[in-house]
Amino acid sequence: MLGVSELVELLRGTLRDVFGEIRVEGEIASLFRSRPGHLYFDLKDEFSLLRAVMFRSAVAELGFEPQDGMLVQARGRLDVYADRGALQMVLSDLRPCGEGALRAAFEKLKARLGAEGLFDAEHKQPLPFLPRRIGIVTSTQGAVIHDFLRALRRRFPAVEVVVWDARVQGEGAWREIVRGLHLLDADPTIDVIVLARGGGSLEDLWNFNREELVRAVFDATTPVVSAVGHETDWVLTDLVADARAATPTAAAALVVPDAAQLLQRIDELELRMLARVQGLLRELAHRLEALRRALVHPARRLRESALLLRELRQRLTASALRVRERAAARLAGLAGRLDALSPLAVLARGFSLTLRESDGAIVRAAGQAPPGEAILVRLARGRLRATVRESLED
Amino acid sequence: MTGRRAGTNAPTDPGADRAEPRFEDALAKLEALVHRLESGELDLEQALGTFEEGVSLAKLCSVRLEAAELRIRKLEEGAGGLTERALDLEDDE
Repeated sequence: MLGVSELVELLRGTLRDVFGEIRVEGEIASLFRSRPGHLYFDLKDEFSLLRAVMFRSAVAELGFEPQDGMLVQARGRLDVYADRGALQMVLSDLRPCGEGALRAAFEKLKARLGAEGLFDAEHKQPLPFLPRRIGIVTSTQGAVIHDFLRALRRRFPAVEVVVWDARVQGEGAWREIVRGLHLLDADPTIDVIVLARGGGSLEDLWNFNREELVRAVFDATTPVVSAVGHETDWVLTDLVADARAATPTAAAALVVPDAAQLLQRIDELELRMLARVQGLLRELAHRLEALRRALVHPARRLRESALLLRELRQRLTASALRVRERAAARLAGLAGRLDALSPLAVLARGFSLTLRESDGAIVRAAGQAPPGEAILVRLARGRLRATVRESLED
Repeated sequence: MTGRRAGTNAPTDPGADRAEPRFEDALAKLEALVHRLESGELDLEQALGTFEEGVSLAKLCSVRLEAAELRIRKLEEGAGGLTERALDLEDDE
């Protein structure tokens, strides 16, 4: 013979052991929020009903507000409420199920945060023209980080990137994102922060709609770019961030200027200065020449002017030379970089490139390098200078 | 709502290691010099001085643009606090 309490206790143990943690899908009904913040409701479908309770600590983790009529997926354990001998499920997690419910939760949160002014344009900060260091919060696993870095390399490689590796989807990923955002924001040498992940369904992107993350973006003192890739839908971090990019490549274009374009602009400015100063010198030379013809007398003054002119000319020529040399060196550098783009990638795979030392011609057939010919073999790393011992045609 | 963003964006700069002018400032100054040169208000000596200043500014800007490789660091939080180390992502260039 068992006492009631003993039996209930036995039942509880059995439920726990047999079922463990389970997931169940159903509709919320008769929702009640107790004063301490616990949630009580029924989970039901067409034929059955199950009492459910979610304690405050778990409620605090929810990214949405449960409501009557909402279809949800619940996770938790079965238990017996001893006072009434009633079966109940104690929930650890709850999420809206189906696109419709998610969207409704999204719209509600968006409206609430929007009403607080979190998305207002007046809070947007301008992005720096040229950041010294760029923080990025993303997963180092996906293609996103590669796309971003590749775009930076192409556009403006003279920067430093600080990566915070975070999961960007799945339960609780938002915590890692918020943590990274806080740490990067606290670093005064970081001038802009990018939040990035690839596209996905509303559910995949759900972490970027977490209120905590949205507020963290809002509170950041460093400008934040939201690059949560997806064409049509926006996530809330897009709305609260200082700028939004649809792809990681577009994010790179937002955070750094185009170095090649800037160099061109600087070259152009230099050439304009040069033209102007040369014009001035020519003008002065003409005036002196005219004076020389008109006057015989103040020859001394004239000589002084001529000396001054010569000195100025020398200074100008030296400067002009420097400008031209630098422009030439830059061109050579650019050419070198272009050169490095393709063939070196091939070399890196183990192929090599053979050149004749005498004339630099690429050796494509053995006949081009007879015995005794000095050749240069370019490898991915370094070069070999060699002499052909024997030349064998296929 | 928590207090946000003290004031508008004073570019995050605690005054640390900033002896050099910011790139955008140097570029703006260069533009201004060129305009002054082209205005025709300067005599030759002033023009040459402006020219030389302009050339050195242009050099400063170009050097900043041409500096080397993209550097990638990874920020990590461990028992000993925060660390940064070079990150070598297999590149799919």
